[in-house]
Amino acid sequence: MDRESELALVERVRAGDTAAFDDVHAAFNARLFGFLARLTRSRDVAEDLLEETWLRFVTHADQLRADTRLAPWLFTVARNVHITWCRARAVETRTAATLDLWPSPAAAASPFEQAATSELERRIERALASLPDDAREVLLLVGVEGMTPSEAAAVCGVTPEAMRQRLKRARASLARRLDDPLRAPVFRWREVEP
Amino acid sequence: MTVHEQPDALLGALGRLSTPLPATARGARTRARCHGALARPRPRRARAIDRLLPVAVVAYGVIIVVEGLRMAGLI
Repeated sequence: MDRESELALVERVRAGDTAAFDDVHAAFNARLFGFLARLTRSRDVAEDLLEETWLRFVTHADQLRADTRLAPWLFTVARNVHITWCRARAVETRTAATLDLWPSPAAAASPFEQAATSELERRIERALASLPDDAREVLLLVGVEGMTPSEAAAVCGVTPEAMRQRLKRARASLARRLDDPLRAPVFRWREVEP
Repeated sequence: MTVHEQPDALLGALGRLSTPLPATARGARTRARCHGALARPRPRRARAIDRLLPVAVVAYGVIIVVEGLRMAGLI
């Protein structure tokens, strides 16, 4: 999508045009889902967070600035929605651990691993899933989504220089895991209980 | 100055990963909910706050500046 079309689309969404919303949805839905699914490692949770992201988008549609860049805006919201979910989940996990009521979730192969078309892709997905959240999100934004470090910095709320450092560390960490399979624990897909 | 970075094979490999697709039915439901939200006018109170907030911020700033000048004995 070129910048001119993007600006026109933003203008129409601000005016409440549902057809314009559909165009934005078609352009970003799969990308946002991939980002959220790789962050949460759960298809069901990713779909919930994706819906929340779109609802926030339309709730704030009339407050969008005329020069809004849709990709950074939407990925920032998706990231914030994910952070909120992580915080809520941390509280739940702590409570459950204290009470010792919930069994460990069943392990299964990740849908990404199953869908991966090559062994290399499977290894990358596995290594990516084994990284800490902050490293994974940087690689997803810059590597998978093709954002510049400056754009990714805006999404994560850090300076471009801090983002470059974070990207360098995350990339090195991913490379180490790919070089040494023993460092990349076999990732197991978790279905998170609601 | 623009810094031209070398293409990175590892980041390039990430860019070629398969894109997972969300469930179609769920997407249709989300779109319907969003259409409903877009069609709904915002509450009058929220719109009034949107209009008044910048005015209040500017007025507060003016008061601070005037008070600062007055305390400095400039006016």
